[in-house]
Amino acid sequence: MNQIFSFKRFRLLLSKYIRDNRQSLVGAAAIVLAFHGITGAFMIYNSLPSDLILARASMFIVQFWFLIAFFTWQQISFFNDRNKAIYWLLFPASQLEKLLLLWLITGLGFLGWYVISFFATDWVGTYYVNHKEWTAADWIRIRANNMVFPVELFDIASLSEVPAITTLTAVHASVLVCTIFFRRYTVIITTLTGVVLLGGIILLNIWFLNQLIDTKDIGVHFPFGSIRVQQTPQTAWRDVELPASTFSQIRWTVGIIVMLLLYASAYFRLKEREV
Amino acid sequence: MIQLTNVQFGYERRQVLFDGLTLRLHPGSIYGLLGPNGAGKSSLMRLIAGLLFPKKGQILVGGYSPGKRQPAFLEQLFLLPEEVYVPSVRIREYVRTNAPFYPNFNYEQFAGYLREFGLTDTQKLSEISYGQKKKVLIGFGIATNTPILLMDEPTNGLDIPSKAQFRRLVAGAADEQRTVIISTHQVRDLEALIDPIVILSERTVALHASVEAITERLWFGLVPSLDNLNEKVLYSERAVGGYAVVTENRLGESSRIDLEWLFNAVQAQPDRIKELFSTTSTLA
Repeated sequence: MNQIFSFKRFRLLLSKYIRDNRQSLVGAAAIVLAFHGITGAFMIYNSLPSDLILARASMFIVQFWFLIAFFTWQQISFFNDRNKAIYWLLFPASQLEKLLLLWLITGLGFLGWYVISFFATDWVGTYYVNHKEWTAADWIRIRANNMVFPVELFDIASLSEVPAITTLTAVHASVLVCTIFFRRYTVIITTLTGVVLLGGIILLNIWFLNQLIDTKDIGVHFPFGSIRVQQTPQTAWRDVELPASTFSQIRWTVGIIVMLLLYASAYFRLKEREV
Repeated sequence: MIQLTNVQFGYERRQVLFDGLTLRLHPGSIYGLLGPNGAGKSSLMRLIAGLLFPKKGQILVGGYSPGKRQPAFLEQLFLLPEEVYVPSVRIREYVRTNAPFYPNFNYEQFAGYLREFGLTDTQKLSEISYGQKKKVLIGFGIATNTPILLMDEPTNGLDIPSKAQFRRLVAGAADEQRTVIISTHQVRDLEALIDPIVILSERTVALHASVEAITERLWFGLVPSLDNLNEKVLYSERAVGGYAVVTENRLGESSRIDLEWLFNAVQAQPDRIKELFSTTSTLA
């Protein structure tokens, strides 16, 4: 049998992982659903339609960061328990299969459940918003501000795809690497590393843009995203998106390279892990 | 065959656990790995299993380099660690999901071991005692029929009848194709089972010999006094009615090996023991 990857072995490994970790997976799925329910009830679907649409998109991203980081750490932290790590490392499967399994469960698997549960919550939340008894004052505000009503279901395509995908996957890759790298205080170190890295990259991005267009009147959301330029006189900001063609390719390329480097680091760290 | 050549290993740069350790272990034997606390018994097992990497030297297990952790190597080896981890599933589910990874796993053999230990496959691993978990893993490890079976302190946590069962199972499972290594500090538990004996001391192997070779070169017995024995005595301790001694066996007298006394003799005089066992091949 192939020593790097075998479908048969991977299928058995996946089935074994799901059976062994059934309780923690079901628990994690329930936590995600509960999170959507709680944030939906208290932070999204109790707002006016325009605020709701904005809050919903923001919560989709922010919650995802937090929950995928927590879930990835929860599923992979067994590496920091010697007995569990021995059990895992000595299991007759290749290191690639083991990492791929973790990637599938904590990455793709989590994303799938997150999106499904978010949409399920959104369906309930939107139904509630569209059928609730608004007060007369609310109706005045809705009409005065030309708010969209009834509220439509969340459209994932409304997110700016490049920053969304790159930052979402970067969060997963970073947590995966950090959990495998750091044996102690994993959550604290991972959070600090994430904050420092993100802050550093944003500052570097701002510095680079300042050098490039020779002005300090710009604001930046995230790397690979739009930039905000202050108008003269200083009363408003304008969002400027980079041209789609060449710059988009550059953003994709940089994002993919960073992710690949992070996942490659995780793979080699896993191979070198001593217990 | 397991072959360690000039292995150097330490957890920290300045603290060397093994230095120039060379050892060859052949199939068909149940090796007893003995050593004082901190001598590196568990570390040696983990080096063989590929969980640790040597700083210098080479390790080959059945022709594989353990550190690469290739599936073909991992399915040839089963390690029962001192502290065991088992997922929270029923025994039959554990077997159903783990056994397919071991090509020589024998389901009937495992069912027999479970019966012998008084367990049923419907029991949940998280709901049985630590000793019972260990029994399940001992049975599973033996039933994998892997050419390399490593057991780190397997009798820890077992009650007295279970220790006897363990000895019986391991003795029954040993064959010409299989290398079994059992590390223990409870030498009395395994005295009748292990042969050859490997004793670690002072960062290397102080003794690696078969029981036959040991009793050829050393004499174990009780003497009323130590007079006239001083030169030959390697180890002595007060016992009822005299002294328990380990001496050089210059006259070729037969005696019954006592692993505890042997262990103490090796720790007390490792250089002299090495000298005694270095002249000719000491493995049967």
